[in-house]
Amino acid sequence: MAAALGFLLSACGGKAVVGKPFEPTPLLERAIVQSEGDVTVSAAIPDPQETEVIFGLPLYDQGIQPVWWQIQNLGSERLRYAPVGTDRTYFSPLEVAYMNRSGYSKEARAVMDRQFYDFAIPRYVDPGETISGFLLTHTQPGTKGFNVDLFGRESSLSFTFFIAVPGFVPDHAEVDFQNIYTADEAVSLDEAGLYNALASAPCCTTDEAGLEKGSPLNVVVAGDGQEVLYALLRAHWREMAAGEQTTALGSENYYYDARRQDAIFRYEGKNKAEGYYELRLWLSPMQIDENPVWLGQLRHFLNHRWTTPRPDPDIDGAQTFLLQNLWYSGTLLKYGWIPGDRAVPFEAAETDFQGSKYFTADSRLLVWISADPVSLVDVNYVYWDRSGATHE
Amino acid sequence: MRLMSDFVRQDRVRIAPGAVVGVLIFLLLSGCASTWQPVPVDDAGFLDRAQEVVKDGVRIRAAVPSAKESKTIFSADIYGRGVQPVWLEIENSTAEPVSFMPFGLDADYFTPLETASMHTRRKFADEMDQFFFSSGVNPAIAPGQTRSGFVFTHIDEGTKAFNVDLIGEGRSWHHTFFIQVPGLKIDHYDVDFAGMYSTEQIQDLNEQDLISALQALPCCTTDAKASGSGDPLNIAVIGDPIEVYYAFVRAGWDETEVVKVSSGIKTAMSFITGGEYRYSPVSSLYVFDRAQDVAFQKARSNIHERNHLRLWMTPYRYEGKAVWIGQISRDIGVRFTRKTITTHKVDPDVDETREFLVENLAYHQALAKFGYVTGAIAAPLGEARHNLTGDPYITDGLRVVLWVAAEPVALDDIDVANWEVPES
Repeated sequence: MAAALGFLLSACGGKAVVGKPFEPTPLLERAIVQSEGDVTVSAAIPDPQETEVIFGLPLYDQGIQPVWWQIQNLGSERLRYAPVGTDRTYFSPLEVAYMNRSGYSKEARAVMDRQFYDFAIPRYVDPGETISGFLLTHTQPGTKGFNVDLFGRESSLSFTFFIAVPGFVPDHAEVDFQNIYTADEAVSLDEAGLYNALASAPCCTTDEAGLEKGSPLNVVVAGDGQEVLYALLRAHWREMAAGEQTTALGSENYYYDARRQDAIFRYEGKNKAEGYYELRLWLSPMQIDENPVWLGQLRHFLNHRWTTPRPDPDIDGAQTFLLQNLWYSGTLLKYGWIPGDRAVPFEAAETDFQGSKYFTADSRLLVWISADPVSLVDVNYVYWDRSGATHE
Repeated sequence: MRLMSDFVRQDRVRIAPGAVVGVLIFLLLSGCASTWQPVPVDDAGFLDRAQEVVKDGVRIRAAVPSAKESKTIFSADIYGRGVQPVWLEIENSTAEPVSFMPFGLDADYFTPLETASMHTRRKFADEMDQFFFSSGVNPAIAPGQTRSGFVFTHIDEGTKAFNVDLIGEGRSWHHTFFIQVPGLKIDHYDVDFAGMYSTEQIQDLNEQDLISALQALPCCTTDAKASGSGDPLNIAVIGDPIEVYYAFVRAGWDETEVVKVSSGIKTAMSFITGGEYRYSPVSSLYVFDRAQDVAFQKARSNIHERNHLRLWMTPYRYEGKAVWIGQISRDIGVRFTRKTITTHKVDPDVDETREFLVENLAYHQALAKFGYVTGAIAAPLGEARHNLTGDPYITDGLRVVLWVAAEPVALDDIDVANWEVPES
């Protein structure tokens, strides 16, 4: 990290560049620190206001989110940091300076170039050295999950961080999970018990009054709340802000157990103009292997050029997507299907209380989340026979 | 092991395309309709170009219809909406169920009904939904079973590189297909790499001679008259043409269309709208008195932000493989010039772009080894040099030497040559 810059330049009819000396202490104080062997990485994300103070520019408004870190290498080999591991299409420092050149004098632009160049995280960290700096990434609302990958001749290290951006309140942060169920209501189950409990659980969500049928509860997730959150973030799902309008149909809510969803996650592909997947989760009273069991309603939405997105009636296709998405992100421990007896054929699609059509073979997808990465070939498949006995 | 919820599912809708055609012909004859007439896959011609691979009891056959062929099959301009169908036939001769993972082919694949919804005409809405839905490949393949159908992916013209991943019980199959899709005239298809240098001109080098030869190559590109000093030649690549081609395509680089009228129009339109035309011809830069032998580009969010690289084959060979010299730069916007009216603004930090390339190839498992030599001219920030269109650039003056790999190389297995060491 180069020495902090302090300057005030104003020249020949151009805008002034106002940069304050960069003071890393506030970021360092709240940084999340991880160590592996001889290497320690501290990471923090400045919020929009801090970013404007540091860079003198409203970078968040341009879709740019700086991530700051410090890497200490007490090992014996030189390590290389690979920015593409953090963000495949990160912005280069002089690119962002160029994007912001308008209205500045030649001298001010040179200062801006220097500032962005010096603020960038270096690629190499030598033995005994500590480096720090920013990578300019694409803005991610909510909790940002990212990797810091380091490569040496003999070894490689990968750190995964989940950092909540100050000021963002996800919907699930407003839910009092501890008090949803009393100790008497909680049910601890084995796999056969879970099969039976799920076979008799409600097929679908409902409207607020509990009278009209919503879409099928087609997904079941077993895992600690934080692990489920991290797994979804790792698989590129994003949290929704509390109160954020979420569906193509407006702000309507679906209900299970007389309450609206505890959390909504959305998966948008690289091209946000295309369709997206939406997963609504409810904590259930069921537990397996001391982990909570979550019921989910998963839908895919089709984007249209001229109209609002509409739900894809193929809800089983959405299950297949989620399964692969978790599988490829290394967060799937095992999975199985729980067959139901309410198949809705393609030709006779049903309509839920929101007017959204669906057809399904009516099997629930049950996924166990893993906190540790699971390779593609190590994912287990659990097969239940009709008695509920399992075969792995 | 099942990827789909129910094996029964595969049989739920099977509308023979022939039946649909029959109905349409009837409607046509009765004067009710004339505008939607899909044809069976076997009649579309593109299966002649199918490639096949057999591995450990599984046979995979893959083919990619062109824009025109897709329009015939689906009776809809699906390329026009950014969708490219990939046809697969998977035969499972093992004793266990195998799941095909479309996510590995394109993590943002389109669902069949999503594709249908982009084209739905009210009169045929139900038939189209059913036709597209039944055209999708069912990913659950039972022992002894053969399945075929389409995956609806994002478009890659020129060559489409894609993975077909299959998961069985405790094992998996992975194969990367490289399939040329008709429709574009690609620059390097016409280059005669084998005949470029005579036997007398070709020089086989040892490691020390390779370093010296790379250092002695010109610092920079020139214009057509071999005058001027253009962009720094900051990359060298070691690999035969097919390896270079596989490595860059695998790492997501697009081939470049040769300049002709239609490509000029496509480029002009994307220039105006900022839209993504990924195969846009690139201007010629010169080394060895000739324009680049091959150019690749990697679009970012729009035409103004993309990475360009150009390669020239040298007469040098190292360990039997061709040695290439090249140049990489990143466009970061558009600016006006007196000479060419508009041109792309190049990121002055060409080393940053060079290092991006190392990591980009590495993360796509297309890099076997890399190292650095001197050869370009160092220019620190504040003392920038300028290319032929007056763009400034800064660099440490190093060239990265990249041994590309046609077969995947894991990140941990990449070798590093113990030559020059970049400072930061």
